[in-house]
Amino acid sequence: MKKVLALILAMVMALALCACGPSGADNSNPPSGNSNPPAGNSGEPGGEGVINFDEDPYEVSIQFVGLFEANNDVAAVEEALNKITLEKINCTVDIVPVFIGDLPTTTSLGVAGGEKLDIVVAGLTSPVSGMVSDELILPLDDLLAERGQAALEVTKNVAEAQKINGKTYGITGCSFAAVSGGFVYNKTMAAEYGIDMHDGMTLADLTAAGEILKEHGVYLTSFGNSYQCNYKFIAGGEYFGGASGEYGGMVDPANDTEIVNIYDTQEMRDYFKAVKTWNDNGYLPAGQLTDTTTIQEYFNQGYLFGTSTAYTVNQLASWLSPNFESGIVRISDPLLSTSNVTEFMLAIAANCERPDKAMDLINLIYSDAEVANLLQYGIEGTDYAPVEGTENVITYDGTPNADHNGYFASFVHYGNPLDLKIVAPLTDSYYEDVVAFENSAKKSTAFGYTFDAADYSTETSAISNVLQEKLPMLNAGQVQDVDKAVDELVAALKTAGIDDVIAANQAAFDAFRGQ
Amino acid sequence: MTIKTKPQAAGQTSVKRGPLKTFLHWLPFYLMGLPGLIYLFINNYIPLAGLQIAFKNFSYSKGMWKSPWNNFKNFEFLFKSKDAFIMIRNTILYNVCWIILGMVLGVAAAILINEVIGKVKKKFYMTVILLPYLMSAVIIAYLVFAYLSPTSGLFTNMLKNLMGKAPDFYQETVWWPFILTFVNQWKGIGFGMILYLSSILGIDPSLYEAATLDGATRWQQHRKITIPLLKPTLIMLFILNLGQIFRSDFGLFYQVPMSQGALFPVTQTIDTYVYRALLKTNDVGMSSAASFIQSIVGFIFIVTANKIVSKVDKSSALF
Amino acid sequence: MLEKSRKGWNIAANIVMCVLSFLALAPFVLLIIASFTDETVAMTQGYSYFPAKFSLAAYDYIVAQWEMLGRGYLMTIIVTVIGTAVGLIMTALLGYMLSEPNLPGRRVLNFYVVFTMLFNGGLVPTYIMYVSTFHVKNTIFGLIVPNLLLSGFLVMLVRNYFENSIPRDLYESARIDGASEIKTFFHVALPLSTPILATVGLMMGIAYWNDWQNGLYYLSDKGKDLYTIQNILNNINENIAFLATNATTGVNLSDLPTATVRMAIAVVGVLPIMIVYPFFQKYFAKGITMGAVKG
Repeated sequence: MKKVLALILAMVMALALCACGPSGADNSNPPSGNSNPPAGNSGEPGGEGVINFDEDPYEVSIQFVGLFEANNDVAAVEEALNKITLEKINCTVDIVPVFIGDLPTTTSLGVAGGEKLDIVVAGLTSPVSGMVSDELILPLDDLLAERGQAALEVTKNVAEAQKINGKTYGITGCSFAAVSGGFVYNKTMAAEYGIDMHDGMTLADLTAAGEILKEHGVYLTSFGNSYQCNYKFIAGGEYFGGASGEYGGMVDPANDTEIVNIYDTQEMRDYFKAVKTWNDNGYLPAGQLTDTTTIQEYFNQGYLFGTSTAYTVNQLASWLSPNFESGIVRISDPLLSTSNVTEFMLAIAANCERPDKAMDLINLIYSDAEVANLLQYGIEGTDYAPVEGTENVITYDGTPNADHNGYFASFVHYGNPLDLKIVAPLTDSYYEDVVAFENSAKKSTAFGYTFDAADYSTETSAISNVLQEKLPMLNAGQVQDVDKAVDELVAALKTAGIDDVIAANQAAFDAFRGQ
Repeated sequence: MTIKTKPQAAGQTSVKRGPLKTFLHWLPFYLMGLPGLIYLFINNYIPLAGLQIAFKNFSYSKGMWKSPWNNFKNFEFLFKSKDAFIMIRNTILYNVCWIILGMVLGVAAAILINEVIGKVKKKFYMTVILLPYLMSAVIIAYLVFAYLSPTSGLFTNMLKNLMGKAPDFYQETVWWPFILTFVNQWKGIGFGMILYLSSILGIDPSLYEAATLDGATRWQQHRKITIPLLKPTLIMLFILNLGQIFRSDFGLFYQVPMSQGALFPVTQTIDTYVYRALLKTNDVGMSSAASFIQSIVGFIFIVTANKIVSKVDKSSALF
Repeated sequence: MLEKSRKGWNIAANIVMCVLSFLALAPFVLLIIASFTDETVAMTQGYSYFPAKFSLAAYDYIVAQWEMLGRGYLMTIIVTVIGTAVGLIMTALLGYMLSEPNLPGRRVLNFYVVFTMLFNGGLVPTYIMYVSTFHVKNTIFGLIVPNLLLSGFLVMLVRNYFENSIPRDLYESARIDGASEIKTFFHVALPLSTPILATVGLMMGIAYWNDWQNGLYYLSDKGKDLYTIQNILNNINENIAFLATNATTGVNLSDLPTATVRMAIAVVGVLPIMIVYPFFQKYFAKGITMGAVKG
């Protein structure tokens, strides 16, 4: 009996090894060949950056990340794009819609399974540094130098922030990356109740607004069950490791060079105390921690006055409601930090067969306004209509896209923002505004710096769990005693090892600044 | 070809006539099992090669074979972090409690529904009681919330009306061992009932008839006939469940408590911890390590339990 | 006719079953009512058995999306029927083989099956194998074959039933009569095992009906036409979960199916099983009579 068992197990193992061997090798070979894409790899016949029109056109796939859209017109957009791309770079385009919730699995399993992937979206749901350490995306420097001049040119102001350990892995869609804290609100309601909303509002101003709203039975805002560091919308700041500052942060990033545990600062305590007042006074919904309805939905229904958000010149466009007019105010000073650049990047998948063609398309997106607009907005007349009396303003009203039934981009930013059309209520002054806003921004001392926490995965898991456990209640103002709760949070973070992570982060940051 | 090999084969069989004949005798059985065995081989055995990811610093483009080893780094979280004790304790305690409770309630429900007279009634009960089993964790979470929500829950409002105040269920840990146990049993009892009922239906009715003639009460019949005859099934399910002792129903522990931080001390299990860690890091190595440990612990439990059972009653052993 | 204790049991059983039915039904009724509740009322007052205002808005959404949902339904039914039928046959055959007490290598084979319940290689290797070796991506096989077709647990259940509930003499007498193994299986073993086959079939059917993971991994946008109803529901939930943890992200608000719509989709997803399930029970009933014949 034992013998049989041993024999069978041996057989199984042997078979498992052979059966798995090729599939494992299959997907590992092409990428490892590509991982240092030298000139030789890209376009054998053509020379430096020259496009070879003699070969059969290669089909470049590009991810198109959305929410619930039907994406009915994708084929038509592809057709319109192909007319241009065939002529200019001898390739066709395959737009691949992906639900945002599926994006991480789609990309990582796609690379693992050796499926066709060319241009992928990085930074949107998984941090670029993580994708780099998982070797999901290729370094692009050689390709960029050879055939990505336009992409480099458009993103030159933020070029250093596109780099990780000195190598470029993605081209940002946010080349105007300055962001400040902001507050989106229901403008119709503000006018009706006489609430003064203005740039540079303070926590006290918002408290006053909350008092007025309370009389009318509307909540000021809700923070949901969020474990992000919401303090950001009031004061900006640099946060390492995502929106909750798992690897520490800097309160005044324009001047600071010391990374601290942001939860262990007086500013944070004061902020949490203010939010607790909001909650105690009934400005926040009592059930915000457990709401199954999203904040966006509450806002849309007029149940909430507004919500904290990141302020950019075109942020408002994504908060439009059919029920009322929306407005936005700027709260903190604009800041240029790495995370805003890496939020949305076009990258090339590790298993891409023709990185050269993928780069050609990326470059074309950044150099050809027509291509960028097609990818971003679809076809004029079908998916959107120009607004009369303006140069570049468009609207979805009166098109199938009013209900998002056409080709509708939710989470993507393609190309040079100055090439793209803009959606009403933005006006033609947008192009000047966005440049002015960018120029008014202060640069974080950590601009261009990314901390790779791969060696600290145990600590960061524990930190992340601590934040998910303790931060939502503080964020919602639902604690008995703010000081005690913050003390507990800080103690738990210490136990989880945040000091080690911050020390390593600081050491790497110092090395970065020394360069 | 056949002619050439025949003498050889004949020569062999003349010596080992027994085995070949035995093999031919059993061949139809093997053939019947073959499709299933092949499927299990493909679906379950081949991917086992992936267990090595637990010991590697996985790179998607290098694949599992070429990724570098990183010793036991992926397992660190289970030993180094202070949450480890809480999540392991929760996982095991809930499992032990639910395995036993699930058996007791399932068998009781199966015996009772078998006592119901009337086909239509039986059908109705069975359909209705199975309903919760069909609902996804997300929907169950909505329903639990509808009853327990601090602001608009049906149950909280009822308590407020009756007693003037109601606890804030989603912020107080004391309730959740009971809520989770209730939801788990509520969801599983229909399944358990049908499972045990199908075994009860397989019991030879003449046994009951004979017992009735001997004057045994119904209660005695169940004690002396039903339960003993269910024993093999119960033992088998018990052993199989032990194999899952380090795993947990992710939806139940993540969705139903609405991922409330305040409830982590009683709702965090190994699976939810890993999931929460992955939200940030997307670390395949860590989830593989967790799954590896879960399998090993389950394996040890099953083999031990099976050994004990086979010492006591050989025919009840699983393998 | 009925003895006294039998009657007493009947009453007690009815009482307990009524309580259990109530517990099972109450939340389900709430689910249905919630799907008919006016969105604003649900938002401000929560769900209730007696909502202040009813609304058909959620079902308007479903009707408007009928093309997508209808196709999802069709796919769910196809996948469930094929998967359950094939899986049930394979499970029964394997369980039958393992139940034969004198089969050489039986212990090893049993272990081989139990082992599959303990260890799994994880998503990544499974995915790589199915996609690059078997090319199931964006095919209907991707929905049917991975993980669901056969489970060690159900094989063990069937084996156990064959072993303990069917007298061995029945097989022996069939074999003495000269029936082949296949014949014995189909004519003796199968007819006597309707209760367990109905149970196992039901469980497989439910597993297929409720599965969304295969669709998530093995279908991409190119295989969108193959989405089952659960995939559609799951996509909605996943996207909402994303928004809930990224509350500061602006979105196109009109895209969001509201909470009551999600309830309505859940109702639409569960109802068919409720309708089909009583038909399965015919086989339970059949099992009872079979048992009688056997005695």
